[in-house]
Amino acid sequence: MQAAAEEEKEIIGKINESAQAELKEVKEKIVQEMGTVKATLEEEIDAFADAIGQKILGRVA
Amino acid sequence: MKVPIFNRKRSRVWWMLPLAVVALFLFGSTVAFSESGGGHGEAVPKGWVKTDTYRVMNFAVLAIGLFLVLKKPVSQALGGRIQGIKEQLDELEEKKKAAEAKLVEYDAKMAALDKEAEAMLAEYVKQGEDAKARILKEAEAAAEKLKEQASKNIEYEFLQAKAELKAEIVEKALAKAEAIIKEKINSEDQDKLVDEYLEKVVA
Repeated sequence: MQAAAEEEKEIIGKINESAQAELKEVKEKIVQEMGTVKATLEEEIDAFADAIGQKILGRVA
Repeated sequence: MKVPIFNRKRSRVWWMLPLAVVALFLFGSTVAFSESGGGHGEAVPKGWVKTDTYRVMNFAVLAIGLFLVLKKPVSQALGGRIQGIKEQLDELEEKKKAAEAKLVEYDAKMAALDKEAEAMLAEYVKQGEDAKARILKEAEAAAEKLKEQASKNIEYEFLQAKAELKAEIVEKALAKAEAIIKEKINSEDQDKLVDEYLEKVVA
């Protein structure tokens, strides 16, 4: 019983550790991808702004 | 345990035996002494003399008398003793059989105890295995929950980052659009916008 409880703790600890590591890795990946996406979108901000202005003014700004 | 030699009947015989022996000895000695002339002042003869014959006869009478007197009680005593020994042997044989039966019984009990101990051990091992399997199953379930939680956390982080990025880009685009509009708007555009607004309000 004690051995099984220790094994249970060990399994949960390993999985918890693995999950934390995976979460950290995914967070880093998200931050990295968000950075790339942000850079791409910032390049298109002018186009967005022109489209907004055109929609508001009803003509090409 | 019954020992016949110590019975009352037997002990009476044993009392009589020494008395008979003493009586015969005294009788025989008296006869021998009278036949030898009392032993006063006579020279000791050499070789076989007449008194020797009397002595032999005396001894023979004594032996025969003793034999006749002691035959029955001795045989009775020996018979009793033999009977006692037989009874003792029978009793010991019965005890031996009883001990053997007890031994067989205890062997059977020991075998049963061994079996019981083995069964108990097997039961404890089974309970331990069951408990281990249950604990491991619980651990797997807990691990699965942890994974689900981690997955939800990842999804939440992603959505939050996406929303933040969206808000940031929209804010920047709006700011830039505002600047462009401020720069390029004219009175015609302003009239048009006012008209559109009024139409919406009226509608």
